[in-house]
Amino acid sequence: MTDVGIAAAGQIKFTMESRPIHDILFDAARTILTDLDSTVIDGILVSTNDTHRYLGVILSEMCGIQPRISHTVESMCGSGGNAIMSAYSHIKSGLARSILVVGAELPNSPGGILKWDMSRGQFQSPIYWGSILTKSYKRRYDISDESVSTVAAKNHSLAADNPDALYGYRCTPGDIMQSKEITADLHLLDCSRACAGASAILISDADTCRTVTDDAVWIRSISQCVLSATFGRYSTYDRIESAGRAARDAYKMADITSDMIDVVEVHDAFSICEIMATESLQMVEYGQGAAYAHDLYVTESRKVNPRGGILGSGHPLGATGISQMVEIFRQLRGEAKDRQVPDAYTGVTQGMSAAGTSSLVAVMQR
Amino acid sequence: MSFEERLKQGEFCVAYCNNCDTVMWPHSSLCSKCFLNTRLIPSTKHGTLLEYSSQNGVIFCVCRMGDMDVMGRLLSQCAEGSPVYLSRCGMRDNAPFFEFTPEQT
Repeated sequence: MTDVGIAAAGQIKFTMESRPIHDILFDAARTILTDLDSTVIDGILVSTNDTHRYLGVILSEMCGIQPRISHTVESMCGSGGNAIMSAYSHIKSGLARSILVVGAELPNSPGGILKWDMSRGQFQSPIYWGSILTKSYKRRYDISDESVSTVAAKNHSLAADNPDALYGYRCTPGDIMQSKEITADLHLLDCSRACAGASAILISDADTCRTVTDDAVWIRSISQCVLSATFGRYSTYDRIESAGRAARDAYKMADITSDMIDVVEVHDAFSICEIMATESLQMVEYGQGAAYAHDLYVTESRKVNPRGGILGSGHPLGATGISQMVEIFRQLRGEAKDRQVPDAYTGVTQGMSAAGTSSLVAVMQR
Repeated sequence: MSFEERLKQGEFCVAYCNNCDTVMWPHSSLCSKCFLNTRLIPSTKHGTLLEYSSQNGVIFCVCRMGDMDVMGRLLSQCAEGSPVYLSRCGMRDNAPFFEFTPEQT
């Protein structure tokens, strides 16, 4: 089977501006198509939670392409990662040679709420599961609010060097804790914000990658773990078990260990999620994630969430998983400018859906 | 009556499979193990407080009731691990709600 790589990637600036969804999809696609012979594309996938129909095919027509494969992928916050996984599978199987994956969302997306999950009762908003995970972790490991907020301070500060970020300003954990109290365990700036945004990535077989670029980034593995749709099926609320399982599979498939990771984008929907993700990705032991985030913050390391993560960049749900991979693509090619991690060779993305009941981990290398 | 109709009347039910004893939560008309029809049976009202937080004075929590976890409102504070009782439930604005009270020990 062919190797699968990323031949090109691009995205537009995240904003709070509401525009027609097909317009921002096209804007993101255009970041790739303007420098590409579009005849290499034989598939177009769209990832979004938007309720408009048939967006994959609409985008194909707008781009002037008649692909062999086109459809829309919806999987809540993890839609982008799932669309990339579908593209990867199509190419591995030989069903397609090159697929353009474009994700987009608007600020009023319905994708943050899963009404089917009655275990959440009246507490449907993500801030409630975010609070439960935060409180559970703090209690289990005797961690302070300030330690948790260090993640948000780090990521908002890193986003200052990301011109596509919704936010971006240097701040301290104290600033995070001064922001509005959302619940007893979450401040406003500990929470990612749904926004408008779009990103695009061209996933191709090895031959096509080499015709498009001399500098492809290779997807060594991609793995998803689905435990449930129901938040109330967590076995323990102080870790994201699905991320741990997906990481183990992805590392095995890519034949890497966590100490080989140079740069990683994790799904920091809330500050606590980055702490739990670095533990699940085996970058630190369970219980050490907050101390690790503190070290990253004080040393101004860009190893984790160099673009500012979801907290700093904003969270256009259908675009988020793709934006994570766009960042790793740029990092591994040395194109991340002011936020470049030196000599990055191995990069990882971790995304998740529905309160972390499902996670997806991918490993990329130059 | 459906799950929602019984919940509207203040009765919390789970789907139970007579064939393999599986309890389905959230409820489903078919069993996830043997795929036969389930039937609604009243859930236990006794559980354990696993975790809680609060917002503007409203305490929200996760309680474990048998093998299933339920998020709801905790009407007065108690420690994690404490026994709790499902004192009220129903439907409000087309969404279920559950209210728990610390159980006297």
